[in-house]
Amino acid sequence: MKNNNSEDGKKPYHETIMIRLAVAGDEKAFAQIVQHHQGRVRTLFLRWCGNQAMADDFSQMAFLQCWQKLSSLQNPISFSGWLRQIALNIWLQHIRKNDALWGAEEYDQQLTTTPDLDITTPLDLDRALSFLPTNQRTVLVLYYHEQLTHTEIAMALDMPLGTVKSHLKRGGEQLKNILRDYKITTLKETTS
Amino acid sequence: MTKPDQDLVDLFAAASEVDADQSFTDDVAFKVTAFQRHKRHTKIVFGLLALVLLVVFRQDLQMLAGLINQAMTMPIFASLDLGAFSMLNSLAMVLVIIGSGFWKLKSLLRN
Repeated sequence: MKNNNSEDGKKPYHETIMIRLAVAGDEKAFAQIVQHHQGRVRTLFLRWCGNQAMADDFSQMAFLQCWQKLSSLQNPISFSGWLRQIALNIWLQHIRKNDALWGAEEYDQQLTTTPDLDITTPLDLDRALSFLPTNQRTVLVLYYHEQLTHTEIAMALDMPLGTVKSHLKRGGEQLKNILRDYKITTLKETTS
Repeated sequence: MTKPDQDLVDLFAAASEVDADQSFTDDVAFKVTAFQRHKRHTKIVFGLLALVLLVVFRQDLQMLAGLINQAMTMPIFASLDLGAFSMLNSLAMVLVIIGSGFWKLKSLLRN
């Protein structure tokens, strides 16, 4: 993650120093880390769960776990990836508890027809993603939002590489279909 | 290696991100402070409990020290000529237990 000074005349942010201070128990330094990383973590959870309030709750859990485990962080440079893994574990824990079909190979084929789209609400990416099965959504977000490689996703999710690729392919197609259908429906509605 | 779908790359790149919000940071900071307080209190309670147990079971500890002494005078150890050492050893063990309890409590109170 960026080890830079923040823009717009804000206080300079030196990640390595902040992490070392936070490891030593400095809560103010940790607050700066939270301020710096919250946008990314909250967006990540929002892409996964599609609900801002839930995403904020998950993000708070992630940062609290981050504080509790900070002393186990070996290298401050890898903080960003380490934080992502904490976030991912929280998300996986949630879906394993709530989604009985997580990990089922045939589950990603369920969405054969596009969902009923409400054209009165503008379709944003998070809403479009929420129509996808959880496993496809999780993989898509890790690949396109977090820019992890196939192998990294397979390792992070403890999933075979082939499954990751098929989730990506099907999920990507379905996401594009949802967005295309929404555009067509909106266009029809506005012309009629 | 499969290339990423450019449409989706553009879609994700163009999607809006959540802006940093001071109230979110304050909420996390509040929870961290509460967690630290809870952790400290739990440690103090456990430290005090350990001390109380130490006092309550002091006779058992003495008995344990006696048993260790006896064990050290067994032929196998006696042949090693550890008679005088075994007494010191058991005494040191009791002192270490008490000392570490006090040291832990002191460091907890300081933090």
